[in-house]
Amino acid sequence: MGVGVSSVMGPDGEAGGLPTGLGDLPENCVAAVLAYLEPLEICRAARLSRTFRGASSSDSVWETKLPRNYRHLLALATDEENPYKKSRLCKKEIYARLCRPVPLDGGTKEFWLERTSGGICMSISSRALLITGIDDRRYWSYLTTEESGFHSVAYLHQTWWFEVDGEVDFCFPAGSYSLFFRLHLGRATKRLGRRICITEHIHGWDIKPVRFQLSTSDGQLAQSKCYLDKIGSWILYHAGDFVVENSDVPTNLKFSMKQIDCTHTKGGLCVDSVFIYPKGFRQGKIFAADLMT
Amino acid sequence: MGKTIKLISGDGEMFEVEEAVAFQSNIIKSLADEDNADDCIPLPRVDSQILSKVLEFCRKHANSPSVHTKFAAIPSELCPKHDGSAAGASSSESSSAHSETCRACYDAVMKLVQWDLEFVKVDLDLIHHLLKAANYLDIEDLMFMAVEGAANAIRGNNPEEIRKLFDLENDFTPEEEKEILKEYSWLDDPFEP
Repeated sequence: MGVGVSSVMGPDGEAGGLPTGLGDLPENCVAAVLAYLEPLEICRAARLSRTFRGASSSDSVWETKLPRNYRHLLALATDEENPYKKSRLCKKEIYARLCRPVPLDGGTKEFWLERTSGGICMSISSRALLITGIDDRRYWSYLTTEESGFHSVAYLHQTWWFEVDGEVDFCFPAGSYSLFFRLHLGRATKRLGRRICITEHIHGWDIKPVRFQLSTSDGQLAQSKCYLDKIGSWILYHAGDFVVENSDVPTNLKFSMKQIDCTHTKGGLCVDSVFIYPKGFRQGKIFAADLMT
Repeated sequence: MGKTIKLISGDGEMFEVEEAVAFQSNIIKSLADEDNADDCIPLPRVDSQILSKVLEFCRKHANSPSVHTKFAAIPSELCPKHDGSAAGASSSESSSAHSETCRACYDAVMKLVQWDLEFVKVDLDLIHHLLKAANYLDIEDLMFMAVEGAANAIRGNNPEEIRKLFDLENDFTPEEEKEILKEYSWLDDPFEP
């Protein structure tokens, strides 16, 4: 901060002919200003002038936007970029890279940086979930669909015991997060170019609610219940929230949704994936948490 | 009035201010520390309009701890309530202990912060001049406020307005502009599941 004493006399120490005025904003000043702005605003500011463009690429600006554990997250992005090139990325390029999904666990999970807020999001495909009876073709099958980020969803024909469990172990940057199950009552298909929803298998969801649960390795627990009722659209069912204190310590999350009342069957449900978003970023179907003793 | 310093602006105006005011600028302080027989410091690159604004800020902040950059605790000798009568309190009595419990200090800091916020709101096109002056003269608190003020001036304004406020020239060639759009295309193309 501040310029050297010699430049009190002139920008490049010219002899005689003292310049008036303070000249253009130096790049370091612009960078200090840009650090206050959001990523989108920084990128817009790059178009203002050469100085702004230079400042908008500066590491000091993007360092403030990256998650605290960005080095760890970048290391997980073992992809087409060779390690040498990856180690030479500037902070802006690291931000850009993390905005593209990074696959985990053989591609059954993905995480990415949400570009506007810099928060980490994650999606967990149905293939990574433990679905009771998934191998029994009387109950479940996998459908290929473009409506899923993983191009495939698990479809329930019918079952007595509906249980979906999942687990993830990940260094989430410190903050609050919400976990959702993305579900669809009915089976969507295309007829003559139009999307239609086949509802023939839908039953049983109005008898008893589905129970959601989320717990962390450090003892947090969220439980709630909800009747599934909206047919024909993908709904994010909010299972619960969790808080991460330390970016450098892996958080182990266990989550589940169940409807195991065996007095009735239920069916006609597509299970896409589980989503984890920074709290407040996405509003799913919110329902009151039910404290179960 | 304590020891004073004379500052000469780029357009030849003379400002005589107390040392405590002028020394908010690390540059002025280091220049004055040098062997300067006539206590007259020329600032050829700062014109009188800007310098008077800067000194207004410095006057307000003189004898105040750096409220922004250090989030400092207020040493008890500066506490407005105690009025320097806390001479008995040793400086090793953690200053933070004092201001944490002293309501008068907290209020004084808040008042100063409010004043600063108002100060940078006035005259948006002055902001970049203040920013340059704060950078050039190395005045931490003014730098902090001017940076925030400048960020607010950019936020929510279109490029033409921002260029006007900051005296910027669009010095790109059309090829460069295309390059920039490409360089930042990753932000326009979000991955949305």
